[in-house]
Amino acid sequence: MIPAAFRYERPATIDEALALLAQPEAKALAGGQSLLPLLRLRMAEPELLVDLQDIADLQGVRHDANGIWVGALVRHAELAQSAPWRVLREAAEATGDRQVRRLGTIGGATAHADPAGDLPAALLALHAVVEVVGPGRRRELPIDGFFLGPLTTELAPEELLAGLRLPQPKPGAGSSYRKLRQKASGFAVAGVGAMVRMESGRCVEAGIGVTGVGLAPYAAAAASGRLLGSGLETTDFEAALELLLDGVDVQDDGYASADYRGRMCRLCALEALESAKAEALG
Amino acid sequence: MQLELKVNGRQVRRDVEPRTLLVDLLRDELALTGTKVGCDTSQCGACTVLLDGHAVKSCNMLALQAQGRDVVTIEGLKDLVPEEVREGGLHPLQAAFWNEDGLQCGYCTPGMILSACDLLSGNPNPSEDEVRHGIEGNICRCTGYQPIVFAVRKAAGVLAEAGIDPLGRPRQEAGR
Repeated sequence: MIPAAFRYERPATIDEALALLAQPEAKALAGGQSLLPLLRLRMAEPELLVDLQDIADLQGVRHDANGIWVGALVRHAELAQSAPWRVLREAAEATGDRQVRRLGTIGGATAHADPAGDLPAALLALHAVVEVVGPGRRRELPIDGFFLGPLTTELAPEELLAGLRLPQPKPGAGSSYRKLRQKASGFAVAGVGAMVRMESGRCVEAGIGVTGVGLAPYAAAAASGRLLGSGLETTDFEAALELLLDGVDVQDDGYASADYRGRMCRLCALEALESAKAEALG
Repeated sequence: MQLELKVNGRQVRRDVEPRTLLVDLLRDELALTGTKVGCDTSQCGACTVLLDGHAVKSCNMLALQAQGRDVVTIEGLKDLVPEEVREGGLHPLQAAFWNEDGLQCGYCTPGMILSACDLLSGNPNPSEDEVRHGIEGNICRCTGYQPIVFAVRKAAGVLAEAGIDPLGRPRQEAGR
Protein backbone atom coordinates (compact mmCIF):
# COMPACT_ATOMS: atom_id res chain seq x y z
CA MET A 1 0.00 0.00 0.00
CA ILE A 2 1.03 3.59 -0.51
CA PRO A 3 1.51 5.69 2.64
CA ALA A 4 -0.69 8.70 3.28
CA ALA A 5 0.91 11.94 2.07
CA PHE A 6 3.45 13.68 4.29
CA ARG A 7 6.15 16.33 4.05
CA TYR A 8 9.76 15.21 4.19
CA GLU A 9 12.77 17.01 5.64
CA ARG A 10 16.36 15.98 5.95
CA PRO A 11 18.08 18.10 8.62
CA ALA A 12 21.85 18.15 9.00
CA THR A 13 22.05 18.79 12.75
CA ILE A 14 20.31 17.67 15.93
CA ASP A 15 19.09 21.22 16.60
CA GLU A 16 17.47 21.45 13.17
CA ALA A 17 15.87 18.04 13.73
CA LEU A 18 14.47 19.09 17.13
CA ALA A 19 13.00 22.26 15.62
CA LEU A 20 11.24 20.14 13.00
CA LEU A 21 10.08 17.57 15.54
CA ALA A 22 8.43 20.37 17.51
CA GLN A 23 5.92 20.74 14.66
CA PRO A 24 2.59 18.96 15.07
CA GLU A 25 2.39 15.33 13.92
CA ALA A 26 6.10 15.14 13.11
CA LYS A 27 7.89 11.81 13.28
CA ALA A 28 11.58 10.94 13.21
CA LEU A 29 12.77 8.48 10.55
CA ALA A 30 15.96 6.50 11.19
CA GLY A 31 16.34 3.30 9.12
CA GLY A 32 12.60 3.05 8.64
CA GLN A 33 12.42 -0.72 8.98
CA SER A 34 9.62 -0.50 11.56
CA LEU A 35 8.16 2.85 10.53
CA LEU A 36 7.77 2.15 6.79
CA PRO A 37 5.48 -0.86 7.34
CA LEU A 38 3.38 1.25 9.73
CA LEU A 39 3.16 4.05 7.16
CA ARG A 40 2.14 1.65 4.43
CA LEU A 41 -0.55 0.09 6.59
CA ARG A 42 -1.56 3.67 7.47
CA MET A 43 -1.31 2.79 11.13
CA ALA A 44 0.94 5.85 11.27
CA GLU A 45 -0.02 9.00 9.34
CA PRO A 46 2.47 11.72 10.30
CA GLU A 47 2.29 15.09 8.57
CA LEU A 48 6.05 15.48 8.57
CA LEU A 49 8.82 12.89 8.37
CA VAL A 50 12.20 14.02 9.67
CA ASP A 51 14.86 11.83 8.07
CA LEU A 52 17.83 11.72 10.46
CA GLN A 53 20.35 10.03 8.17
CA ASP A 54 22.52 13.10 7.50
CA ILE A 55 23.06 13.99 11.18
CA ALA A 56 26.70 13.29 11.99
CA ASP A 57 26.16 13.56 15.76
CA LEU A 58 23.92 10.48 15.70
CA GLN A 59 26.50 8.27 13.96
CA GLY A 60 29.37 6.09 15.01
CA VAL A 61 30.73 4.38 18.11
CA ARG A 62 32.98 6.22 20.56
CA HIS A 63 35.02 4.93 23.48
CA ASP A 64 35.71 7.34 26.34
CA ALA A 65 36.24 7.40 30.11
CA ASN A 66 32.50 6.86 30.67
CA GLY A 67 32.43 3.69 28.60
CA ILE A 68 31.10 3.20 25.10
CA TRP A 69 28.72 5.51 23.25
CA VAL A 70 26.78 4.00 20.36
CA GLY A 71 25.11 6.53 18.06
CA ALA A 72 21.40 6.11 17.42
CA LEU A 73 22.00 5.57 13.69
CA VAL A 74 24.41 2.64 14.03
CA ARG A 75 22.89 -0.13 11.96
CA HIS A 76 22.16 -3.71 13.03
CA ALA A 77 24.55 -5.10 10.40
CA GLU A 78 27.39 -3.06 11.89
CA LEU A 79 26.51 -4.08 15.45
CA ALA A 80 26.38 -7.74 14.43
CA GLN A 81 29.91 -7.43 13.06
CA SER A 82 31.67 -5.29 15.61
CA ALA A 83 29.67 -4.45 18.75
CA PRO A 84 31.93 -4.57 21.82
CA TRP A 85 29.62 -6.98 23.68
CA ARG A 86 28.69 -10.42 22.38
CA VAL A 87 25.10 -10.10 23.61
CA LEU A 88 24.71 -7.08 21.35
CA ARG A 89 26.32 -8.80 18.36
CA GLU A 90 24.05 -11.84 18.80
CA ALA A 91 20.89 -9.79 19.34
CA ALA A 92 21.68 -7.66 16.27
CA GLU A 93 22.27 -10.77 14.15
CA ALA A 94 18.98 -12.22 15.43
CA THR A 95 17.04 -9.11 14.36
CA GLY A 96 14.90 -9.27 11.21
CA ASP A 97 16.77 -10.48 8.16
CA ARG A 98 19.80 -9.44 6.12
CA GLN A 99 18.03 -6.56 4.37
CA VAL A 100 16.42 -5.23 7.55
CA ARG A 101 19.78 -5.35 9.34
CA ARG A 102 21.35 -3.23 6.57
CA LEU A 103 18.97 -0.33 7.22
CA GLY A 104 17.57 -0.79 10.74
CA THR A 105 19.27 1.15 13.55
CA ILE A 106 19.85 0.65 17.26
CA GLY A 107 18.19 3.99 18.05
CA GLY A 108 15.19 3.21 15.89
CA ALA A 109 14.73 -0.23 17.41
CA THR A 110 14.99 1.19 20.93
CA ALA A 111 12.62 4.10 20.33
CA HIS A 112 10.13 1.89 18.46
CA ALA A 113 10.02 -0.47 21.48
CA ASP A 114 8.52 -3.52 19.86
CA PRO A 115 7.47 -5.83 22.72
CA ALA A 116 9.43 -8.61 20.98
CA GLY A 117 12.43 -6.60 19.73
CA ASP A 118 15.83 -8.26 20.17
CA LEU A 119 18.14 -5.32 20.84
CA PRO A 120 16.18 -4.09 23.89
CA ALA A 121 16.90 -7.39 25.67
CA ALA A 122 20.63 -6.97 25.07
CA LEU A 123 20.60 -3.34 26.19
CA LEU A 124 18.69 -4.26 29.37
CA ALA A 125 21.23 -7.00 30.15
CA LEU A 126 24.04 -4.45 29.82
CA HIS A 127 22.30 -1.81 31.99
CA ALA A 128 22.61 0.63 29.09
CA VAL A 129 21.80 4.31 29.48
CA VAL A 130 19.59 6.04 26.92
CA GLU A 131 20.79 9.48 25.86
CA VAL A 132 17.85 11.69 24.96
CA VAL A 133 17.93 15.22 23.55
CA GLY A 134 14.99 17.59 23.55
CA PRO A 135 14.38 21.31 23.05
CA GLY A 136 17.03 22.96 25.24
CA ARG A 137 17.69 19.87 27.32
CA ARG A 138 19.54 16.61 27.38
CA ARG A 139 18.75 13.74 29.72
CA GLU A 140 20.13 10.30 30.41
CA LEU A 141 17.67 7.56 31.31
CA PRO A 142 18.43 4.08 32.60
CA ILE A 143 17.20 1.52 30.09
CA ASP A 144 15.49 -0.31 32.96
CA GLY A 145 12.13 1.47 33.01
CA PHE A 146 12.53 3.07 29.57
CA PHE A 147 10.11 0.64 27.92
CA LEU A 148 6.63 1.38 29.24
CA GLY A 149 4.45 -0.87 27.10
CA PRO A 150 3.89 -1.95 23.49
CA LEU A 151 5.56 0.67 21.23
CA THR A 152 5.64 3.06 24.20
CA THR A 153 8.71 4.53 25.91
CA GLU A 154 9.76 7.40 28.18
CA LEU A 155 10.63 9.38 25.02
CA ALA A 156 8.44 12.48 24.52
CA PRO A 157 7.19 13.30 20.99
CA GLU A 158 9.47 16.33 20.69
CA GLU A 159 12.53 14.41 21.88
CA LEU A 160 15.13 12.41 19.99
CA LEU A 161 17.05 9.36 21.07
CA ALA A 162 20.65 10.41 20.38
CA GLY A 163 22.58 7.37 21.47
CA LEU A 164 23.13 4.60 23.98
CA ARG A 165 25.80 4.38 26.61
CA LEU A 166 27.24 0.98 27.43
CA PRO A 167 29.84 -0.14 29.95
CA GLN A 168 33.27 -1.09 28.66
CA PRO A 169 33.69 -4.90 28.85
CA LYS A 170 36.00 -5.70 31.77
CA PRO A 171 38.07 -8.84 32.28
CA GLY A 172 35.91 -11.68 33.55
CA ALA A 173 32.81 -10.38 31.76
CA GLY A 174 30.67 -12.47 29.41
CA SER A 175 27.34 -12.01 27.69
CA SER A 176 25.00 -13.75 25.30
CA TYR A 177 21.56 -13.60 23.66
CA ARG A 178 19.21 -16.50 23.00
CA LYS A 179 15.78 -16.45 21.41
CA LEU A 180 13.05 -18.69 20.17
CA ARG A 181 12.01 -17.26 16.79
CA GLN A 182 8.45 -17.19 15.64
CA LYS A 183 8.93 -19.02 12.34
CA ALA A 184 7.10 -16.68 9.99
CA SER A 185 7.85 -13.25 11.42
CA GLY A 186 11.25 -13.94 12.98
CA PHE A 187 10.21 -12.02 16.08
CA ALA A 188 11.01 -13.50 19.50
CA VAL A 189 8.39 -15.76 21.07
CA ALA A 190 10.82 -15.34 23.95
CA GLY A 191 14.30 -13.81 23.96
CA VAL A 192 16.80 -13.32 26.77
CA GLY A 193 20.00 -11.30 26.96
CA ALA A 194 22.37 -12.14 29.80
CA MET A 195 25.55 -10.52 31.12
CA VAL A 196 27.72 -11.70 34.01
CA ARG A 197 31.12 -10.72 35.37
CA MET A 198 33.21 -13.01 37.55
CA GLU A 199 35.96 -12.08 39.98
CA SER A 200 37.83 -14.85 41.85
CA GLY A 201 35.08 -17.34 41.02
CA ARG A 202 32.24 -15.11 42.26
CA CYS A 203 29.68 -13.21 40.20
CA VAL A 204 30.13 -9.47 40.84
CA GLU A 205 27.89 -8.08 38.08
CA ALA A 206 24.86 -9.50 36.33
CA GLY A 207 22.09 -8.36 34.04
CA ILE A 208 19.16 -10.13 32.41
CA GLY A 209 16.90 -8.58 29.75
CA VAL A 210 13.75 -10.33 28.57
CA THR A 211 11.80 -9.69 25.38
CA GLY A 212 8.75 -11.16 23.63
CA VAL A 213 7.26 -12.27 26.93
CA GLY A 214 5.56 -9.31 28.63
CA LEU A 215 3.90 -6.19 27.24
CA ALA A 216 7.35 -4.59 26.96
CA PRO A 217 10.96 -5.73 27.17
CA TYR A 218 12.03 -5.72 30.84
CA ALA A 219 15.01 -6.21 33.13
CA ALA A 220 14.62 -9.29 35.34
CA ALA A 221 16.29 -7.56 38.28
CA ALA A 222 15.35 -10.08 40.96
CA ALA A 223 16.72 -12.92 38.86
CA SER A 224 20.02 -11.21 38.06
CA GLY A 225 20.30 -10.04 41.69
CA ARG A 226 20.07 -13.66 42.83
CA LEU A 227 23.25 -14.41 40.87
CA LEU A 228 25.41 -11.79 42.59
CA GLY A 229 27.94 -13.30 44.95
CA SER A 230 27.24 -16.80 43.69
CA GLY A 231 29.62 -19.06 41.80
CA LEU A 232 27.13 -19.29 38.91
CA GLU A 233 26.58 -22.97 39.52
CA THR A 234 23.64 -24.74 37.89
CA THR A 235 21.71 -24.49 41.17
CA ASP A 236 22.24 -20.70 41.17
CA PHE A 237 20.90 -20.45 37.63
CA GLU A 238 17.91 -22.57 38.58
CA ALA A 239 17.16 -20.37 41.57
CA ALA A 240 17.46 -17.24 39.41
CA LEU A 241 15.16 -18.67 36.73
CA GLU A 242 12.45 -19.12 39.39
CA LEU A 243 12.42 -15.30 39.66
CA LEU A 244 12.57 -14.58 35.91
CA LEU A 245 8.85 -14.06 35.36
CA ASP A 246 8.02 -12.52 38.75
CA GLY A 247 5.32 -9.89 38.42
CA VAL A 248 5.26 -10.22 34.62
CA ASP A 249 2.03 -10.47 32.66
CA VAL A 250 3.23 -13.32 30.41
CA GLN A 251 1.50 -12.93 27.05
CA ASP A 252 -0.78 -15.59 25.68
CA ASP A 253 -1.44 -15.47 21.93
CA GLY A 254 -1.79 -17.54 18.79
CA TYR A 255 1.95 -18.20 18.69
CA ALA A 256 2.38 -19.44 22.25
CA SER A 257 0.36 -20.03 25.38
CA ALA A 258 1.53 -18.20 28.49
CA ASP A 259 2.72 -21.49 29.97
CA TYR A 260 4.75 -22.47 26.90
CA ARG A 261 6.14 -18.96 26.48
CA GLY A 262 7.24 -18.94 30.14
CA ARG A 263 8.98 -22.29 29.76
CA MET A 264 10.74 -21.19 26.57
CA CYS A 265 11.76 -17.96 28.26
CA ARG A 266 13.41 -19.88 31.12
CA LEU A 267 15.15 -22.15 28.62
CA CYS A 268 16.47 -19.18 26.63
CA ALA A 269 17.63 -17.58 29.89
CA LEU A 270 19.45 -20.72 30.99
CA GLU A 271 21.22 -21.03 27.66
CA ALA A 272 22.11 -17.33 27.57
CA LEU A 273 23.46 -17.48 31.14
CA GLU A 274 25.50 -20.64 30.49
CA SER A 275 26.93 -19.08 27.35
CA ALA A 276 27.71 -15.79 29.14
CA LYS A 277 29.41 -17.68 31.96
CA ALA A 278 31.50 -19.67 29.47
CA GLU A 279 32.69 -16.42 27.89
CA ALA A 280 33.37 -14.91 31.32
CA LEU A 281 35.56 -17.86 32.25
CA GLY A 282 37.33 -17.43 28.91
CA MET B 1 10.56 16.93 -4.28
CA GLN B 2 13.70 16.74 -6.39
CA LEU B 3 15.43 13.39 -6.18
CA GLU B 4 18.79 12.57 -7.64
CA LEU B 5 20.42 9.18 -7.40
CA LYS B 6 22.39 6.70 -9.42
CA VAL B 7 20.56 3.64 -10.76
CA ASN B 8 22.54 0.93 -12.52
CA GLY B 9 25.38 3.34 -13.12
CA ARG B 10 23.22 6.10 -14.62
CA GLN B 11 22.46 9.39 -12.95
CA VAL B 12 18.68 9.75 -12.54
CA ARG B 13 16.70 12.91 -11.73
CA ARG B 14 13.00 12.87 -10.91
CA ASP B 15 10.43 14.98 -9.15
CA VAL B 16 8.75 12.65 -6.65
CA GLU B 17 6.12 12.80 -3.96
CA PRO B 18 7.77 12.19 -0.56
CA ARG B 19 5.65 9.10 -0.01
CA THR B 20 6.98 7.38 -3.16
CA LEU B 21 8.56 4.07 -2.25
CA LEU B 22 11.87 3.20 -3.87
CA VAL B 23 10.32 0.14 -5.53
CA ASP B 24 7.63 2.28 -7.16
CA LEU B 25 10.22 4.72 -8.47
CA LEU B 26 12.17 1.83 -9.99
CA ARG B 27 9.21 0.04 -11.52
CA ASP B 28 6.80 2.81 -12.44
CA GLU B 29 9.08 5.74 -13.20
CA LEU B 30 12.20 4.00 -14.49
CA ALA B 31 10.48 0.92 -15.99
CA LEU B 32 12.91 -1.41 -14.19
CA THR B 33 10.35 -4.12 -13.62
CA GLY B 34 12.88 -6.81 -12.76
CA THR B 35 12.42 -5.70 -9.15
CA LYS B 36 9.26 -7.40 -7.92
CA VAL B 37 6.61 -6.60 -5.35
CA GLY B 38 5.63 -9.81 -3.59
CA CYS B 39 4.08 -9.31 -0.18
CA ASP B 40 4.00 -5.52 0.10
CA THR B 41 4.49 -6.01 3.85
CA SER B 42 8.31 -6.12 3.76
CA GLN B 43 8.59 -9.81 4.52
CA CYS B 44 9.18 -11.64 1.24
CA GLY B 45 12.33 -9.96 -0.11
CA ALA B 46 11.19 -10.00 -3.78
CA CYS B 47 11.83 -6.23 -3.95
CA THR B 48 15.47 -6.51 -2.81
CA VAL B 49 17.96 -4.20 -4.56
CA LEU B 50 21.51 -3.13 -3.77
CA LEU B 51 21.92 0.25 -2.07
CA ASP B 52 25.58 1.27 -1.99
CA GLY B 53 26.37 -2.41 -2.51
CA HIS B 54 24.16 -3.75 0.31
CA ALA B 55 20.88 -5.64 -0.04
CA VAL B 56 17.82 -3.64 1.08
CA LYS B 57 14.10 -4.01 0.52
CA SER B 58 13.04 -1.33 -1.93
CA CYS B 59 9.40 -1.62 -0.81
CA ASN B 60 10.49 -0.76 2.72
CA MET B 61 12.20 2.53 2.04
CA LEU B 62 11.24 5.87 0.56
CA ALA B 63 12.78 6.83 -2.75
CA LEU B 64 13.96 10.02 -1.02
CA GLN B 65 15.97 7.99 1.49
CA ALA B 66 18.11 6.93 -1.48
CA GLN B 67 18.90 10.57 -2.37
CA GLY B 68 22.50 10.74 -3.61
CA ARG B 69 23.02 7.00 -3.25
CA ASP B 70 23.88 4.23 -5.66
CA VAL B 71 21.18 1.67 -6.49
CA VAL B 72 21.70 -1.52 -8.49
CA THR B 73 18.77 -3.65 -9.65
CA ILE B 74 18.80 -7.06 -11.29
CA GLU B 75 18.95 -5.32 -14.68
CA GLY B 76 22.29 -3.72 -13.80
CA LEU B 77 23.91 -6.60 -11.94
CA LYS B 78 25.83 -8.08 -14.87
CA ASP B 79 27.52 -4.74 -15.55
CA LEU B 80 29.32 -4.95 -12.19
CA VAL B 81 31.55 -7.77 -13.40
CA PRO B 82 33.93 -7.77 -16.39
CA GLU B 83 32.63 -9.30 -19.60
CA GLU B 84 34.94 -12.30 -19.48
CA VAL B 85 33.42 -13.37 -16.14
CA ARG B 86 29.87 -13.37 -17.54
CA GLU B 87 28.32 -16.52 -18.90
CA GLY B 88 25.93 -16.00 -21.79
CA GLY B 89 25.91 -12.34 -20.86
CA LEU B 90 24.84 -13.13 -17.29
CA HIS B 91 26.44 -12.31 -13.94
CA PRO B 92 27.91 -15.48 -12.35
CA LEU B 93 25.07 -15.50 -9.78
CA GLN B 94 22.43 -15.31 -12.53
CA ALA B 95 24.23 -18.02 -14.53
CA ALA B 96 24.44 -20.29 -11.48
CA PHE B 97 20.70 -19.91 -10.77
CA TRP B 98 20.07 -20.78 -14.45
CA ASN B 99 22.43 -23.77 -14.46
CA GLU B 100 21.37 -25.19 -11.09
CA ASP B 101 17.63 -24.70 -11.64
CA GLY B 102 17.59 -22.24 -8.75
CA LEU B 103 14.18 -21.00 -9.86
CA GLN B 104 10.83 -22.22 -11.06
CA CYS B 105 8.35 -19.37 -11.40
CA GLY B 106 11.18 -16.86 -11.07
CA TYR B 107 9.29 -14.25 -9.09
CA CYS B 108 11.63 -14.34 -6.07
CA THR B 109 14.77 -14.69 -8.19
CA PRO B 110 15.88 -11.06 -8.65
CA GLY B 111 15.62 -10.43 -4.92
CA MET B 112 17.15 -13.76 -4.07
CA ILE B 113 20.15 -13.06 -6.32
CA LEU B 114 20.74 -9.59 -4.90
CA SER B 115 20.61 -10.90 -1.31
CA ALA B 116 23.07 -13.61 -2.31
CA CYS B 117 25.21 -10.88 -3.81
CA ASP B 118 25.33 -9.11 -0.44
CA LEU B 119 26.09 -12.39 1.32
CA LEU B 120 28.98 -13.26 -1.01
CA SER B 121 30.53 -9.82 -0.83
CA GLY B 122 31.00 -10.32 2.93
CA ASN B 123 31.62 -14.06 2.88
CA PRO B 124 33.28 -15.41 -0.30
CA ASN B 125 32.89 -19.07 0.60
CA PRO B 126 29.77 -19.61 2.73
CA SER B 127 28.78 -23.01 4.10
CA GLU B 128 25.33 -24.38 3.32
CA ASP B 129 24.08 -23.13 6.71
CA GLU B 130 25.56 -19.70 6.11
CA VAL B 131 23.81 -19.48 2.75
CA ARG B 132 20.49 -20.47 4.33
CA HIS B 133 20.90 -17.84 7.06
CA GLY B 134 22.12 -15.35 4.44
CA ILE B 135 18.97 -15.57 2.33
CA GLU B 136 16.53 -15.78 5.25
CA GLY B 137 14.98 -12.49 4.13
CA ASN B 138 13.85 -13.97 0.81
CA ILE B 139 10.94 -16.33 0.47
CA CYS B 140 10.63 -18.85 -2.36
CA ARG B 141 7.39 -20.80 -2.68
CA CYS B 142 8.54 -23.10 -5.53
CA THR B 143 11.99 -24.57 -5.21
CA GLY B 144 12.22 -25.71 -1.61
CA TYR B 145 15.46 -23.66 -1.50
CA GLN B 146 17.84 -26.57 -2.13
CA PRO B 147 18.79 -25.62 -5.72
CA ILE B 148 19.06 -21.98 -4.64
CA VAL B 149 21.61 -22.92 -2.01
CA PHE B 150 23.52 -24.97 -4.61
CA ALA B 151 23.44 -22.04 -7.03
CA VAL B 152 24.80 -19.56 -4.51
CA ARG B 153 27.68 -21.85 -3.58
CA LYS B 154 28.38 -22.56 -7.24
CA ALA B 155 28.55 -18.84 -7.98
CA ALA B 156 30.88 -18.38 -5.01
CA GLY B 157 33.29 -20.80 -6.69
CA VAL B 158 33.11 -19.02 -10.05
CA LEU B 159 33.76 -15.63 -8.44
CA ALA B 160 36.63 -17.01 -6.35
CA GLU B 161 38.20 -18.39 -9.53
CA ALA B 162 37.89 -14.98 -11.17
CA GLY B 163 39.39 -13.34 -8.06
CA ILE B 164 36.52 -10.87 -7.65
CA ASP B 165 33.60 -10.34 -5.31
CA PRO B 166 30.04 -10.23 -6.74
CA LEU B 167 30.28 -6.46 -7.09
CA GLY B 168 33.31 -6.92 -9.33
CA ARG B 169 35.87 -5.72 -6.79
CA PRO B 170 39.14 -7.62 -6.67
CA ARG B 171 39.48 -9.98 -3.71
CA GLN B 172 42.48 -9.42 -1.47
CA GLU B 173 42.98 -13.12 -0.86
CA ALA B 174 41.43 -16.11 -2.55
CA GLY B 175 38.68 -17.80 -0.50
CA ARG B 176 38.66 -17.54 3.26
